[in-house]
Amino acid sequence: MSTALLLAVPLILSAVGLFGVLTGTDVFTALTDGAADGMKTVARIFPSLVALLTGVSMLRASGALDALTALVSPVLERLGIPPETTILMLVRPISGSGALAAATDLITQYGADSRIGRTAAVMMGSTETTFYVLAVYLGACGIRKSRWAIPAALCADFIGFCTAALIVRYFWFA
Amino acid sequence: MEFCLSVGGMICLWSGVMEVMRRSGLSARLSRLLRPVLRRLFPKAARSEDTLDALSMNVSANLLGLGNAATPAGIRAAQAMALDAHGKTATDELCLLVVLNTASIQLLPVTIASVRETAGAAVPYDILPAVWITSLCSVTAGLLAGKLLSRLWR
Repeated sequence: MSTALLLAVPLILSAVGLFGVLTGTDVFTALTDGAADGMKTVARIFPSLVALLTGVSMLRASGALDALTALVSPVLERLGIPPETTILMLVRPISGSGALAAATDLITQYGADSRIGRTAAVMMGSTETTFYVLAVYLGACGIRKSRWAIPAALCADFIGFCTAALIVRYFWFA
Repeated sequence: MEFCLSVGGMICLWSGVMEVMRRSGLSARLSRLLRPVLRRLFPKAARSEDTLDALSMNVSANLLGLGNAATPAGIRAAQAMALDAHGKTATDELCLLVVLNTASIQLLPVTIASVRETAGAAVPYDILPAVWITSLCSVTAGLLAGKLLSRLWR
């Protein structure tokens, strides 16, 4: 299983490259054009990421993060979610770069292969910036009353967080 | 600082790979595969060929992580659906589209895998199956919650 996943990246890269060549795409130009686009994305999120990473480490150093964690840990323990991920779960639906900063902080603090680090990664990879997406889509078509969209989307996020914690525990820390 | 740069480099590489997928028509093929599923989820919107097209492009671009392609297609589908809506209230199918987009359904979460790689993970992509199962559960939860709430919300 893990050997297959170790090979996942080279396999995907060569498969996409091969498919591109077979369909007569100019692979190299597409790759560099895409990378240039990626550069724009990085340039856009870089300043806020630096600021937010500093913010998260200040929260940690001041003890505010520990206080928050201690406050909610009885509930989260019962759900099987590591309480350290509280800040990530709070920020995730609201701010994409804030959540990336929080997840990065957890992954570097506790280790990429630790239970907390893995849970943070799975949470991050399987959810979206809910309120941003809502605002973009409903704003674009002038909808004011979103009816059940927000509760259903938050329900999906909540189930995602619980499942992430459960699966990480079951897969790696059973 | 160094960390951000290293993660940034990997984001660039993957954006390049995604662009190759888009230009070579890989995402177009995927979107054709998705049409039958979407027809069932969005029976009203699927009546219009253009809307179904935009919908399947939106979902396939999301799956491949092509954020830049997913949003315009999604907005096109949403606007077409909003034409059927009366006034400023979202229809059931429009809510469903939004929920589908807020519950990430990405096959390759490259950003967070890059963070893992930089932080020294043994196999950065070994979280993939866990991410897929989790995404599937959360999307299902969103759809079920939607089905349930659409009955209560009159």
